[in-house]
Amino acid sequence: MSSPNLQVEISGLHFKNPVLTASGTFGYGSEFERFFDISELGGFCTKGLSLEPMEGAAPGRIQETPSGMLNAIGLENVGVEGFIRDKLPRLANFQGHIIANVLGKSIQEFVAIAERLAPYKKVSALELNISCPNIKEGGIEFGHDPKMTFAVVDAVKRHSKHPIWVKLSPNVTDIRVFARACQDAGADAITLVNTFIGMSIDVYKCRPMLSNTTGGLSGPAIRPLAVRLVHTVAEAVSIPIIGIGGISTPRDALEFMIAGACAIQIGTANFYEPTVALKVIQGLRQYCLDQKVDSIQELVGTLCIEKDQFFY
Amino acid sequence: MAWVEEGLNLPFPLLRKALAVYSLPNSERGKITLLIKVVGDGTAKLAGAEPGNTIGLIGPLGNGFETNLSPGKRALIVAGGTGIASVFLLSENLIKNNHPVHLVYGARQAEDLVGLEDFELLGIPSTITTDDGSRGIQGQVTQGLEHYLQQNIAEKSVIYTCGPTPMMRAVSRVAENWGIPCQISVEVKMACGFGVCLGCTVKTRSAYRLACTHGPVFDAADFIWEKTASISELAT
Repeated sequence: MSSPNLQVEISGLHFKNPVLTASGTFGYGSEFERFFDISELGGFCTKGLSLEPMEGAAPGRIQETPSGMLNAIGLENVGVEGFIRDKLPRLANFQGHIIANVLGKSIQEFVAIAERLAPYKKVSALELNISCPNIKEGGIEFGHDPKMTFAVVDAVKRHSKHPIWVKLSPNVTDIRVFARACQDAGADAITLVNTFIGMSIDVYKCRPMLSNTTGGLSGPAIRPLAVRLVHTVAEAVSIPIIGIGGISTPRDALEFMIAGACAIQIGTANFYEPTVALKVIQGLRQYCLDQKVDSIQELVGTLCIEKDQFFY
Repeated sequence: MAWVEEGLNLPFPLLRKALAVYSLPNSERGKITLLIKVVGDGTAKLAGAEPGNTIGLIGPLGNGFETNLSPGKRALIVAGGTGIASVFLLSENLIKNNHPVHLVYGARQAEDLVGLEDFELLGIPSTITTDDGSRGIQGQVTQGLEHYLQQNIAEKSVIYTCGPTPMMRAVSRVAENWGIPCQISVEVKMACGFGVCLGCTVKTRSAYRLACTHGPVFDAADFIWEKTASISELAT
Protein backbone atom coordinates (compact mmCIF):
# COMPACT_ATOMS: atom_id res chain seq x y z
CA MET A 1 0.00 0.00 0.00
CA SER A 2 1.26 3.47 -0.76
CA SER A 3 2.05 5.84 2.06
CA PRO A 4 -1.15 7.27 3.56
CA ASN A 5 -1.97 10.88 2.92
CA LEU A 6 -1.66 12.92 6.12
CA GLN A 7 -2.40 16.24 4.44
CA VAL A 8 -5.17 18.46 5.71
CA GLU A 9 -6.67 21.77 4.58
CA ILE A 10 -7.60 24.41 7.13
CA SER A 11 -8.65 27.99 6.41
CA GLY A 12 -7.31 27.75 2.87
CA LEU A 13 -3.94 26.53 4.11
CA HIS A 14 -2.41 23.25 3.09
CA PHE A 15 -0.75 21.31 5.93
CA LYS A 16 1.49 18.33 5.19
CA ASN A 17 0.17 16.68 8.34
CA PRO A 18 -2.37 17.62 11.02
CA VAL A 19 0.18 17.96 13.82
CA LEU A 20 0.99 21.42 15.12
CA THR A 21 2.59 22.52 18.35
CA ALA A 22 0.77 24.84 20.69
CA SER A 23 1.35 28.43 21.65
CA GLY A 24 3.33 28.86 24.84
CA THR A 25 4.90 25.43 24.62
CA PHE A 26 7.12 25.84 21.58
CA GLY A 27 8.78 29.21 22.11
CA TYR A 28 9.31 30.91 18.78
CA GLY A 29 10.13 27.65 17.02
CA SER A 30 13.89 27.71 16.76
CA GLU A 31 14.28 26.61 20.40
CA PHE A 32 13.35 23.08 19.23
CA GLU A 33 15.78 22.89 16.31
CA ARG A 34 18.30 21.21 18.60
CA PHE A 35 15.87 18.33 19.13
CA PHE A 36 14.45 17.65 15.66
CA ASP A 37 13.83 19.06 12.20
CA ILE A 38 10.85 21.27 13.01
CA SER A 39 9.95 21.41 9.32
CA GLU A 40 8.47 17.93 9.86
CA LEU A 41 5.59 19.67 11.65
CA GLY A 42 2.41 20.70 9.93
CA GLY A 43 3.05 23.97 11.70
CA PHE A 44 3.50 25.61 15.05
CA CYS A 45 1.91 28.41 17.03
CA THR A 46 4.17 31.11 18.42
CA LYS A 47 4.21 32.20 22.02
CA GLY A 48 1.39 34.74 22.37
CA LEU A 49 2.48 38.09 20.93
CA SER A 50 1.36 41.39 22.40
CA LEU A 51 1.80 44.88 20.98
CA GLU A 52 4.52 45.69 23.53
CA PRO A 53 6.84 43.14 25.17
CA MET A 54 5.48 41.75 28.44
CA GLU A 55 7.58 40.61 31.38
CA GLY A 56 4.95 38.19 32.66
CA ALA A 57 3.86 37.14 36.13
CA ALA A 58 6.00 37.10 39.26
CA PRO A 59 8.15 34.02 39.95
CA GLY A 60 6.29 30.97 41.24
CA ARG A 61 4.78 30.35 37.84
CA ILE A 62 4.31 26.60 37.57
CA GLN A 63 3.15 23.68 39.66
CA GLU A 64 2.97 20.06 38.65
CA THR A 65 -0.35 18.33 39.40
CA PRO A 66 -1.55 14.77 38.75
CA SER A 67 -1.03 14.16 35.01
CA GLY A 68 -0.81 17.86 34.42
CA MET A 69 0.59 21.19 35.37
CA LEU A 70 -0.70 24.58 36.37
CA ASN A 71 0.92 27.62 34.84
CA ALA A 72 0.63 31.32 35.39
CA ILE A 73 3.27 32.68 33.06
CA GLY A 74 1.33 35.87 32.49
CA LEU A 75 2.01 36.06 28.76
CA GLU A 76 5.70 36.90 28.97
CA ASN A 77 6.67 37.57 25.35
CA VAL A 78 9.00 39.60 23.17
CA GLY A 79 6.20 41.66 21.63
CA VAL A 80 5.22 41.75 17.99
CA GLU A 81 8.18 43.97 16.99
CA GLY A 82 10.63 41.70 18.76
CA PHE A 83 9.11 38.74 17.00
CA ILE A 84 9.42 40.36 13.58
CA ARG A 85 12.95 41.62 14.25
CA ASP A 86 14.55 38.73 16.16
CA LYS A 87 12.50 35.56 15.78
CA LEU A 88 10.91 35.51 12.33
CA PRO A 89 14.24 35.78 10.42
CA ARG A 90 15.44 32.58 12.14
CA LEU A 91 12.49 30.73 10.61
CA ALA A 92 13.35 31.59 7.00
CA ASN A 93 13.93 27.92 6.17
CA PHE A 94 10.97 26.55 8.12
CA GLN A 95 8.80 24.46 5.81
CA GLY A 96 5.59 24.28 7.87
CA HIS A 97 3.05 26.93 8.70
CA ILE A 98 3.76 29.58 11.31
CA ILE A 99 0.63 30.53 13.21
CA ALA A 100 1.15 33.77 15.11
CA ASN A 101 -0.73 33.62 18.40
CA VAL A 102 -1.68 37.20 19.24
CA LEU A 103 -3.33 38.94 22.17
CA GLY A 104 -4.39 42.44 23.02
CA LYS A 105 -5.82 44.40 25.92
CA SER A 106 -8.29 46.04 23.56
CA ILE A 107 -9.80 45.51 20.14
CA GLN A 108 -7.51 48.27 18.89
CA GLU A 109 -4.48 46.35 20.10
CA PHE A 110 -5.61 43.14 18.42
CA VAL A 111 -6.11 45.07 15.18
CA ALA A 112 -2.76 46.86 15.50
CA ILE A 113 -0.91 43.57 15.92
CA ALA A 114 -2.77 42.02 12.99
CA GLU A 115 -1.89 44.99 10.79
CA ARG A 116 1.74 44.85 11.89
CA LEU A 117 1.95 41.20 10.87
CA ALA A 118 0.01 41.68 7.65
CA PRO A 119 3.05 42.15 5.35
CA TYR A 120 4.75 38.95 6.53
CA LYS A 121 3.92 36.07 4.24
CA LYS A 122 5.99 33.73 6.39
CA VAL A 123 3.18 33.99 8.93
CA SER A 124 0.37 31.81 7.60
CA ALA A 125 -2.45 32.67 9.99
CA LEU A 126 -3.22 34.48 13.21
CA GLU A 127 -4.56 32.69 16.24
CA LEU A 128 -6.40 35.16 18.47
CA ASN A 129 -5.78 34.38 22.11
CA ILE A 130 -8.98 35.48 23.80
CA SER A 131 -8.65 32.89 26.50
CA CYS A 132 -5.56 33.38 28.64
CA PRO A 133 -6.65 32.95 32.26
CA ASN A 134 -3.56 34.59 33.73
CA ILE A 135 -3.76 38.30 33.07
CA LYS A 136 -5.99 40.86 34.70
CA GLU A 137 -7.04 42.87 31.70
CA GLY A 138 -7.72 41.88 28.12
CA GLY A 139 -7.50 38.40 26.76
CA ILE A 140 -10.03 36.60 28.83
CA GLU A 141 -12.77 39.24 28.73
CA PHE A 142 -12.96 38.72 24.99
CA GLY A 143 -13.34 35.01 25.64
CA HIS A 144 -16.00 35.23 28.33
CA ASP A 145 -18.52 37.54 26.70
CA PRO A 146 -19.84 36.37 23.33
CA LYS A 147 -20.54 39.94 22.21
CA MET A 148 -16.90 40.81 22.85
CA THR A 149 -15.82 37.65 21.08
CA PHE A 150 -17.79 38.67 18.04
CA ALA A 151 -16.51 42.23 18.16
CA VAL A 152 -12.82 41.33 18.33
CA VAL A 153 -13.00 38.66 15.63
CA ASP A 154 -15.06 40.93 13.39
CA ALA A 155 -12.60 43.81 13.81
CA VAL A 156 -9.51 41.70 13.16
CA LYS A 157 -11.15 40.05 10.15
CA ARG A 158 -11.81 43.46 8.63
CA HIS A 159 -8.20 44.58 9.05
CA SER A 160 -6.26 41.43 8.27
CA LYS A 161 -5.69 39.37 5.15
CA HIS A 162 -4.42 36.46 7.21
CA PRO A 163 -6.77 33.58 8.00
CA ILE A 164 -8.03 34.11 11.55
CA TRP A 165 -8.16 31.29 14.04
CA VAL A 166 -9.64 31.91 17.47
CA LYS A 167 -8.46 30.03 20.56
CA LEU A 168 -11.36 29.63 22.95
CA SER A 169 -11.54 29.37 26.70
CA PRO A 170 -13.10 26.24 28.19
CA ASN A 171 -13.99 28.18 31.34
CA VAL A 172 -17.47 29.13 30.13
CA THR A 173 -20.95 27.72 30.63
CA ASP A 174 -21.67 26.87 27.00
CA ILE A 175 -18.71 27.04 24.66
CA ARG A 176 -20.96 26.64 21.61
CA VAL A 177 -22.18 30.21 22.05
CA PHE A 178 -18.62 31.46 21.67
CA ALA A 179 -17.87 29.17 18.76
CA ARG A 180 -20.94 30.46 16.93
CA ALA A 181 -19.93 34.06 17.69
CA CYS A 182 -16.57 33.34 16.05
CA GLN A 183 -18.20 31.75 13.05
CA ASP A 184 -20.69 34.60 12.67
CA ALA A 185 -17.86 37.13 12.81
CA GLY A 186 -16.07 35.36 9.98
CA ALA A 187 -13.42 33.37 11.86
CA ASP A 188 -11.68 30.85 9.61
CA ALA A 189 -11.09 28.25 12.31
CA ILE A 190 -11.38 27.66 16.05
CA THR A 191 -8.73 26.27 18.34
CA LEU A 192 -10.22 24.23 21.18
CA VAL A 193 -9.23 24.61 24.00
CA ASN A 194 -7.02 26.81 26.13
CA THR A 195 -6.23 25.81 29.72
CA PHE A 196 -8.76 25.18 32.46
CA ILE A 197 -8.45 27.52 35.44
CA GLY A 198 -7.15 25.65 38.44
CA MET A 199 -5.46 26.10 41.78
CA SER A 200 -3.06 24.30 44.07
CA ILE A 201 -2.37 25.06 47.72
CA ASP A 202 0.62 24.63 50.01
CA VAL A 203 -1.14 23.05 52.99
CA TYR A 204 1.68 23.87 55.42
CA LYS A 205 1.80 27.56 54.62
CA CYS A 206 -1.87 27.86 53.65
CA ARG A 207 -0.75 29.76 50.58
CA PRO A 208 -1.37 29.22 46.89
CA MET A 209 1.43 27.40 45.05
CA LEU A 210 1.35 29.95 42.24
CA SER A 211 2.23 33.60 42.74
CA ASN A 212 -0.86 34.44 40.68
CA THR A 213 -3.05 32.30 43.03
CA THR A 214 -4.71 30.53 40.09
CA GLY A 215 -3.29 29.19 36.86
CA GLY A 216 -4.18 27.31 33.71
CA LEU A 217 -4.31 23.52 33.93
CA SER A 218 -2.85 21.64 30.98
CA GLY A 219 -1.50 18.18 30.23
CA PRO A 220 -3.07 14.72 29.94
CA ALA A 221 -5.37 15.48 32.89
CA ILE A 222 -7.54 17.75 30.70
CA ARG A 223 -7.70 15.57 27.59
CA PRO A 224 -11.17 14.03 28.16
CA LEU A 225 -12.56 17.48 28.97
CA ALA A 226 -11.12 18.89 25.76
CA VAL A 227 -12.25 15.98 23.58
CA ARG A 228 -15.78 16.45 24.82
CA LEU A 229 -15.68 20.18 24.05
CA VAL A 230 -14.39 19.51 20.52
CA HIS A 231 -17.23 17.07 20.00
CA THR A 232 -19.78 19.56 21.33
CA VAL A 233 -18.53 22.42 19.16
CA ALA A 234 -18.19 20.23 16.07
CA GLU A 235 -21.95 19.69 16.25
CA ALA A 236 -22.56 23.43 16.51
CA VAL A 237 -20.39 25.08 13.85
CA SER A 238 -19.16 24.32 10.36
CA ILE A 239 -15.78 26.08 10.45
CA PRO A 240 -12.74 23.87 11.07
CA ILE A 241 -11.67 23.00 14.60
CA ILE A 242 -8.09 22.54 15.72
CA GLY A 243 -8.13 20.27 18.77
CA ILE A 244 -5.81 20.71 21.72
CA GLY A 245 -5.72 19.47 25.29
CA GLY A 246 -3.33 16.96 26.79
CA ILE A 247 -2.28 15.29 23.55
CA SER A 248 0.91 13.25 23.87
CA THR A 249 0.31 10.14 21.76
CA PRO A 250 -1.04 9.32 18.28
CA ARG A 251 -4.06 7.77 19.97
CA ASP A 252 -4.81 11.04 21.76
CA ALA A 253 -4.59 12.94 18.48
CA LEU A 254 -6.95 10.47 16.81
CA GLU A 255 -9.55 10.96 19.54
CA PHE A 256 -9.66 14.67 18.76
CA MET A 257 -9.87 14.10 15.01
CA ILE A 258 -12.63 11.51 15.30
CA ALA A 259 -14.47 13.93 17.60
CA GLY A 260 -14.31 16.53 14.85
CA ALA A 261 -10.95 18.28 14.83
CA CYS A 262 -9.29 18.78 11.42
CA ALA A 263 -5.89 19.12 13.04
CA ILE A 264 -4.40 19.00 16.50
CA GLN A 265 -1.91 20.88 18.61
CA ILE A 266 0.51 19.38 21.09
CA GLY A 267 1.23 21.51 24.12
CA THR A 268 2.52 20.46 27.52
CA ALA A 269 4.07 17.22 26.21
CA ASN A 270 6.66 19.32 24.33
CA PHE A 271 8.09 20.23 27.73
CA TYR A 272 8.86 16.71 28.90
CA GLU A 273 9.31 15.00 25.52
CA PRO A 274 10.57 17.59 23.02
CA THR A 275 10.32 15.20 20.06
CA VAL A 276 6.77 14.09 20.91
CA ALA A 277 5.29 15.73 17.80
CA LEU A 278 7.43 13.54 15.53
CA LYS A 279 6.22 10.43 17.35
CA VAL A 280 2.63 11.52 16.94
CA ILE A 281 3.12 12.12 13.20
CA GLN A 282 4.73 8.70 12.78
CA GLY A 283 1.99 7.07 14.82
CA LEU A 284 -0.76 8.68 12.74
CA ARG A 285 0.90 7.39 9.59
CA GLN A 286 1.07 3.89 11.08
CA TYR A 287 -2.57 4.01 12.18
CA CYS A 288 -3.66 4.97 8.66
CA LEU A 289 -1.57 2.13 7.22
CA ASP A 290 -2.92 -0.42 9.69
CA GLN A 291 -6.53 0.73 9.40
CA LYS A 292 -6.31 1.17 5.62
CA VAL A 293 -7.15 4.86 5.78
CA ASP A 294 -5.99 6.49 2.53
CA SER A 295 -6.29 10.06 3.71
CA ILE A 296 -6.39 11.15 7.32
CA GLN A 297 -9.00 13.79 6.44
CA GLU A 298 -11.48 10.94 6.10
CA LEU A 299 -11.31 10.41 9.85
CA VAL A 300 -12.41 13.88 10.86
CA GLY A 301 -15.74 13.79 12.68
CA THR A 302 -16.34 10.08 12.10
CA LEU A 303 -17.56 9.53 15.64
CA CYS A 304 -20.48 7.09 15.68
CA ILE A 305 -23.13 7.80 18.25
CA GLU A 306 -26.46 6.09 18.52
CA LYS A 307 -29.12 8.76 18.52
CA ASP A 308 -30.18 8.21 22.11
CA GLN A 309 -26.66 8.02 23.47
CA PHE A 310 -25.87 11.69 23.57
CA PHE A 311 -27.16 13.88 26.33
CA TYR A 312 -25.71 17.34 26.56
CA MET B 1 16.42 17.49 33.04
CA ALA B 2 16.15 13.84 34.06
CA TRP B 3 13.66 11.02 34.49
CA VAL B 4 13.52 7.25 34.38
CA GLU B 5 12.55 6.03 30.89
CA GLU B 6 9.65 3.66 31.35
CA GLY B 7 8.21 3.69 27.84
CA LEU B 8 4.87 4.77 29.24
CA ASN B 9 2.45 6.86 27.27
CA LEU B 10 1.62 8.68 30.44
CA PRO B 11 4.68 9.31 32.54
CA PHE B 12 4.39 9.68 36.27
CA PRO B 13 5.37 12.19 37.46
CA LEU B 14 4.70 14.11 34.28
CA LEU B 15 7.72 16.38 34.27
CA ARG B 16 11.43 15.65 34.28
CA LYS B 17 13.42 16.87 37.27
CA ALA B 18 16.10 19.54 36.93
CA LEU B 19 19.34 18.14 38.34
CA ALA B 20 22.95 19.18 38.50
CA VAL B 21 25.56 16.82 37.09
CA TYR B 22 27.71 15.78 40.04
CA SER B 23 30.61 14.40 38.05
CA LEU B 24 31.48 13.48 34.47
CA PRO B 25 33.32 10.48 33.08
CA ASN B 26 37.10 10.71 33.19
CA SER B 27 40.06 8.35 33.21
CA GLU B 28 39.03 6.90 36.59
CA ARG B 29 35.25 7.08 36.34
CA GLY B 30 33.30 5.71 33.40
CA LYS B 31 30.01 7.39 34.06
CA ILE B 32 27.98 10.49 34.73
CA THR B 33 27.06 10.76 38.40
CA LEU B 34 23.87 12.41 39.61
CA LEU B 35 23.58 13.05 43.33
CA ILE B 36 19.92 13.05 44.26
CA LYS B 37 18.05 13.70 47.47
CA VAL B 38 14.65 12.02 47.49
CA VAL B 39 12.07 14.75 48.05
CA GLY B 40 9.13 13.54 45.97
CA ASP B 41 7.92 10.98 43.45
CA GLY B 42 10.29 11.98 40.65
CA THR B 43 13.45 11.91 42.73
CA ALA B 44 12.29 8.67 44.40
CA LYS B 45 11.99 7.01 41.01
CA LEU B 46 15.40 8.28 39.92
CA ALA B 47 17.00 7.15 43.15
CA GLY B 48 15.28 3.77 42.84
CA ALA B 49 16.48 3.12 39.28
CA GLU B 50 18.31 -0.17 38.97
CA PRO B 51 21.03 -1.40 36.63
CA GLY B 52 19.41 -1.90 33.24
CA ASN B 53 16.96 0.99 33.66
CA THR B 54 17.40 3.91 31.33
CA ILE B 55 17.64 7.42 32.70
CA GLY B 56 16.51 9.89 30.06
CA LEU B 57 18.48 13.12 30.10
CA ILE B 58 18.15 16.43 28.30
CA GLY B 59 21.27 18.48 28.74
CA PRO B 60 23.59 19.98 29.57
CA LEU B 61 21.37 23.02 29.93
CA GLY B 62 21.98 26.59 31.02
CA ASN B 63 25.18 28.31 32.00
CA GLY B 64 27.63 27.17 34.64
CA PHE B 65 29.77 28.78 37.28
CA GLU B 66 32.24 31.24 35.77
CA THR B 67 35.63 29.61 36.39
CA ASN B 68 37.73 31.80 34.14
CA LEU B 69 39.48 33.52 37.07
CA SER B 70 42.67 35.51 36.92
CA PRO B 71 45.72 33.53 38.13
CA GLY B 72 46.11 33.32 41.88
CA LYS B 73 42.44 33.84 42.65
CA ARG B 74 41.17 31.72 45.52
CA ALA B 75 37.84 29.92 45.39
CA LEU B 76 35.59 29.60 48.40
CA ILE B 77 32.89 27.06 47.73
CA VAL B 78 29.92 27.30 50.07
CA ALA B 79 27.48 24.41 49.86
CA GLY B 80 24.33 23.88 51.88
CA GLY B 81 22.73 20.43 51.99
CA THR B 82 21.99 19.13 48.52
CA GLY B 83 23.81 22.14 47.05
CA ILE B 84 26.93 19.98 47.27
CA ALA B 85 25.70 18.20 44.11
CA SER B 86 26.30 21.33 42.05
CA VAL B 87 29.85 22.15 43.14
CA PHE B 88 31.97 19.03 42.68
CA LEU B 89 32.53 19.52 38.94
CA LEU B 90 33.24 23.16 39.70
CA SER B 91 35.84 22.15 42.26
CA GLU B 92 37.55 19.80 39.81
CA ASN B 93 37.75 22.57 37.21
CA LEU B 94 39.16 25.08 39.65
CA ILE B 95 41.79 22.63 40.92
CA LYS B 96 42.71 21.81 37.32
CA ASN B 97 43.29 25.52 36.73
CA ASN B 98 45.53 25.71 39.82
CA HIS B 99 43.24 27.85 41.94
CA PRO B 100 43.32 27.19 45.69
CA VAL B 101 39.91 25.87 46.73
CA HIS B 102 38.34 25.77 50.18
CA LEU B 103 34.99 24.12 50.85
CA VAL B 104 32.54 25.37 53.46
CA TYR B 105 29.84 22.74 53.74
CA GLY B 106 26.82 22.83 56.01
CA ALA B 107 24.06 20.33 56.67
CA ARG B 108 21.47 19.57 59.32
CA GLN B 109 23.47 16.70 60.78
CA ALA B 110 26.65 14.71 60.17
CA GLU B 111 24.92 11.94 58.22
CA ASP B 112 23.58 14.47 55.71
CA LEU B 113 27.11 15.43 54.68
CA VAL B 114 27.47 13.59 51.38
CA GLY B 115 30.44 13.48 49.06
CA LEU B 116 32.99 14.98 51.45
CA GLU B 117 35.44 12.20 50.64
CA ASP B 118 35.37 13.18 46.95
CA PHE B 119 36.50 16.67 47.86
CA GLU B 120 39.14 15.25 50.20
CA LEU B 121 40.50 13.15 47.33
CA LEU B 122 40.99 16.38 45.38
CA GLY B 123 42.94 17.69 48.36
CA ILE B 124 40.37 20.36 49.13
CA PRO B 125 40.36 21.48 52.77
CA SER B 126 36.96 22.06 54.31
CA THR B 127 35.10 23.82 57.06
CA ILE B 128 32.08 21.83 58.18
CA THR B 129 28.99 23.03 59.99
CA THR B 130 25.97 21.11 61.22
CA ASP B 131 22.81 22.48 62.75
CA ASP B 132 22.97 19.95 65.59
CA GLY B 133 26.73 20.08 66.09
CA SER B 134 27.16 16.39 65.27
CA ARG B 135 30.14 17.36 63.13
CA GLY B 136 32.22 20.49 62.75
CA ILE B 137 31.01 23.86 63.93
CA GLN B 138 27.50 23.88 65.38
CA GLY B 139 25.45 26.39 63.47
CA GLN B 140 24.68 27.48 59.97
CA VAL B 141 26.97 27.43 56.99
CA THR B 142 27.33 31.21 57.10
CA GLN B 143 28.95 30.85 60.53
CA GLY B 144 31.44 28.45 58.98
CA LEU B 145 32.07 30.95 56.22
CA GLU B 146 32.57 33.84 58.66
CA HIS B 147 34.86 31.64 60.74
CA TYR B 148 36.98 30.85 57.70
CA LEU B 149 37.10 34.44 56.49
CA GLN B 150 38.21 35.72 59.91
CA GLN B 151 41.17 33.36 59.93
CA ASN B 152 42.20 33.61 56.30
CA ILE B 153 42.83 36.17 53.63
CA ALA B 154 39.56 37.23 52.07
CA GLU B 155 41.06 39.32 49.32
CA LYS B 156 41.54 37.77 45.91
CA SER B 157 38.73 35.33 46.75
CA VAL B 158 35.63 34.38 44.84
CA ILE B 159 32.64 32.74 46.51
CA TYR B 160 30.61 30.09 44.72
CA THR B 161 27.47 28.96 46.49
CA CYS B 162 24.65 26.50 46.04
CA GLY B 163 22.00 25.44 48.53
CA PRO B 164 18.56 26.39 49.79
CA THR B 165 17.45 29.88 48.80
CA PRO B 166 17.54 31.37 52.34
CA MET B 167 21.04 29.96 52.84
CA MET B 168 22.36 31.40 49.55
CA ARG B 169 20.79 34.71 50.41
CA ALA B 170 22.64 34.69 53.75
CA VAL B 171 25.89 33.69 52.04
CA SER B 172 25.58 36.48 49.51
CA ARG B 173 25.06 38.94 52.37
CA VAL B 174 28.32 37.74 53.98
CA ALA B 175 30.04 38.04 50.60
CA GLU B 176 28.79 41.59 50.22
CA ASN B 177 29.98 42.54 53.72
CA TRP B 178 33.44 41.22 52.98
CA GLY B 179 33.50 42.70 49.49
CA ILE B 180 33.91 39.31 47.83
CA PRO B 181 32.30 38.56 44.46
CA CYS B 182 29.73 35.78 44.76
CA GLN B 183 28.12 33.47 42.24
CA ILE B 184 24.92 31.66 43.18
CA SER B 185 23.34 28.61 41.52
CA VAL B 186 19.58 28.71 41.97
CA GLU B 187 17.02 25.93 41.96
CA VAL B 188 13.60 26.87 40.60
CA LYS B 189 10.71 24.72 39.41
CA MET B 190 10.75 24.29 35.67
CA ALA B 191 8.77 22.24 33.17
CA CYS B 192 11.10 22.11 30.17
CA GLY B 193 14.62 23.24 31.06
CA PHE B 194 15.32 24.79 27.66
CA GLY B 195 13.63 28.15 27.71
CA VAL B 196 10.12 27.63 26.39
CA CYS B 197 7.79 27.05 29.34
CA LEU B 198 9.00 30.32 30.93
CA GLY B 199 8.11 28.83 34.31
CA CYS B 200 11.47 29.19 36.06
CA THR B 201 11.72 32.94 36.06
CA VAL B 202 13.80 34.74 38.68
CA LYS B 203 14.18 38.45 39.27
CA THR B 204 17.47 40.22 38.67
CA ARG B 205 18.24 43.94 38.83
CA SER B 206 17.96 44.21 35.06
CA ALA B 207 14.95 41.98 34.35
CA TYR B 208 13.22 38.68 34.85
CA ARG B 209 15.61 35.92 33.85
CA LEU B 210 15.10 32.22 33.25
CA ALA B 211 16.92 29.90 35.63
CA CYS B 212 17.14 27.27 32.87
CA THR B 213 18.81 29.24 30.08
CA HIS B 214 20.16 32.49 31.56
CA GLY B 215 21.08 30.65 34.77
CA PRO B 216 21.10 28.67 36.93
CA VAL B 217 24.20 30.65 37.93
CA PHE B 218 23.74 34.34 38.64
CA ASP B 219 25.87 37.08 40.12
CA ALA B 220 24.62 37.50 43.69
CA ALA B 221 24.96 41.29 43.42
CA ASP B 222 22.51 41.27 40.52
CA PHE B 223 19.94 39.00 42.14
CA ILE B 224 16.69 40.09 43.81
CA TRP B 225 15.92 37.55 46.54
CA GLU B 226 12.54 38.87 47.64
CA LYS B 227 10.95 37.58 44.47
CA THR B 228 12.44 34.13 44.60
CA ALA B 229 10.54 31.21 46.00
CA SER B 230 12.79 28.28 46.78
CA ILE B 231 11.94 24.75 45.72
CA SER B 232 11.50 23.66 49.31
CA GLU B 233 8.92 26.36 49.89
CA LEU B 234 6.97 25.21 46.88
CA ALA B 235 7.46 21.45 47.14
CA THR B 236 4.41 19.26 46.80
